[in-house]
Amino acid sequence: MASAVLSPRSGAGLLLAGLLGGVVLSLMVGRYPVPPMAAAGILWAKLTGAASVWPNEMATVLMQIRLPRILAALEVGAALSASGAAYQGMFRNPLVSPDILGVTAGAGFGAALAILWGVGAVGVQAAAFAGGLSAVGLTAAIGLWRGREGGAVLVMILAGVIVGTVFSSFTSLVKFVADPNNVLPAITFWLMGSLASVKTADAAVAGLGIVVGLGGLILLRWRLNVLCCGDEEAESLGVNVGRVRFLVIVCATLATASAVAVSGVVGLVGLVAPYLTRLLVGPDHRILLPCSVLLGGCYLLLVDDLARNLLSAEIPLGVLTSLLGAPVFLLLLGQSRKAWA
Amino acid sequence: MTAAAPLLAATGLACGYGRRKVVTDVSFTLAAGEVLCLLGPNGIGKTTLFKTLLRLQPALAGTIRLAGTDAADLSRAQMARLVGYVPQAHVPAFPFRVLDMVAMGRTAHLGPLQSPGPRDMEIAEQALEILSVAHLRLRPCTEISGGERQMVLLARALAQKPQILMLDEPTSNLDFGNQIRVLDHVSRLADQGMAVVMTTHDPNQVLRHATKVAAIGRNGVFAIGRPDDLVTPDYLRGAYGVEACVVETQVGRLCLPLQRGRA
Repeated sequence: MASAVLSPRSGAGLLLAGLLGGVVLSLMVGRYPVPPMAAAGILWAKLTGAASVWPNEMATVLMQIRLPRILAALEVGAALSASGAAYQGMFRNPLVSPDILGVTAGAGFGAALAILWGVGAVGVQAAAFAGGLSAVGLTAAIGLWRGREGGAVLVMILAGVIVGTVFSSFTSLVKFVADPNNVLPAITFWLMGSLASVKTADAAVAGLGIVVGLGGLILLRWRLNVLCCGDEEAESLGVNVGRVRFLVIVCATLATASAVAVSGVVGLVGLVAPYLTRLLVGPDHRILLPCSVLLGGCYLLLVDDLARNLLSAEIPLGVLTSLLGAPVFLLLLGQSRKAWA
Repeated sequence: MTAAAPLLAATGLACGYGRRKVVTDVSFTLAAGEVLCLLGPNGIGKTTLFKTLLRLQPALAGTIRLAGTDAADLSRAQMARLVGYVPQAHVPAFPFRVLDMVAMGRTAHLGPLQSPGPRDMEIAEQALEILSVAHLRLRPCTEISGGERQMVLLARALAQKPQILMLDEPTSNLDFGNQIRVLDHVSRLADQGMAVVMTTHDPNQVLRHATKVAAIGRNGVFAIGRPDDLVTPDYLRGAYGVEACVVETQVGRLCLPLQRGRA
């Protein structure tokens, strides 16, 4: 892998500019186009309480539909991207991501169960967290138990596949018993991954978990760098590896599960976004984590714009992210065959 | 520093995996300025003993005292301020800059959520300068040579400001020139008061650099003494299954093979 092409400051600046541009673009495009001046005017009116000169329905589209959706896309992208970066650092492999470790499938099962029981947004998020944590716990346990003799990464990835499959079949079981008239379609659409029906309240609840999770990861940024040297070296450098690893897993899983609770299963973002960020600003988590928050948010926002606008009917977001992510995974696989040894 | 308080003291140490003891009854002390080599053939328990001393695996019996304190009572950070570990050079998973890699040696001196500050970066720069590799500081660790990488890992251990250096086969995978450069640096550090423990395959490195040698023979027999007393044709025959002689030369004692190995 090449090292950084941008200095930390210019990388962060570029990503921030891209993010702002993405937000403005996303406010404008859609079935109901909003001119840039109108978008700016309505936002300004809302912020300052000034009288709006723009049509009311335009303001409704912007404030009730597009803004919550943009917010959710930014949150979910940031959460998946930064937790992907953290998992990759901790497992010392750019090929792992929340999906590959089974976190997403576990969180998906938890959330599906919560939808089945109809327990509301906070319940869905808590269940997603519990499911995600059990899944990644199982994967890590199998990886540590079976991977001692070498090939730990391969074992970890295969364990993630199996754990993911088990949790997906639990999800199928939930779907099987769900009421086919209302609950089953809700679970099915949600599993495809979509931000189409996001409400401001959902985005706010998820935002809390995501902010706490990402905040924790950013506090641990230097320890994550040291973990990249391997467990024995990190211990000899004075890090309590078990405790740091536990904290990283809890924080990254909280962020991922909160994201899954609001967006459903949006695959491979946690692989693609950290990969691109690492190409831009290098592997140092002090810079990598904040930048992957920005890049992940921007990436998912733009992919969501594609999902809304590419065809006359909306494409599920999860479908698009997986289609875009798969080639990147293959590219990475070609580059890092060493890591499988 | 006097012999009254050895920096490292092992008493009745036994190590191995699970219940299987590989090396038993290890006792020795190490003072500032001494270089202890762990010598022995492959698969005999050198690495096991080494990792037990670093507390990377539990001791099956006995105690390790570091600067007078039982190592079992030290936290990871406390231990890292006393002991710097130099692993065998390997290509890291991510292309960290050399300077950042060396700054990782400062971790034990930082708070749990702290990153290295300007003072720590200065210490990291100094460590690179001591080893004359400061020109590498902005290069990615993945794109430097094996010898350079070994120097970077040594610099990282120096940035820990330890009193004891522990090196695991520091010259494996290095060419002739780099082997000599790395070991000369280690000897110089010992002259300045560092206590050094290193594992090696090469009896000549022991004769040239060690003040003490721990020779592990077949059956996990552990012997400690002066290199001149322990590195003998008898030991080499027993441990490696080869006939060799030890000759006195103008540049010190050398060990030379007499015939092709029968092992």
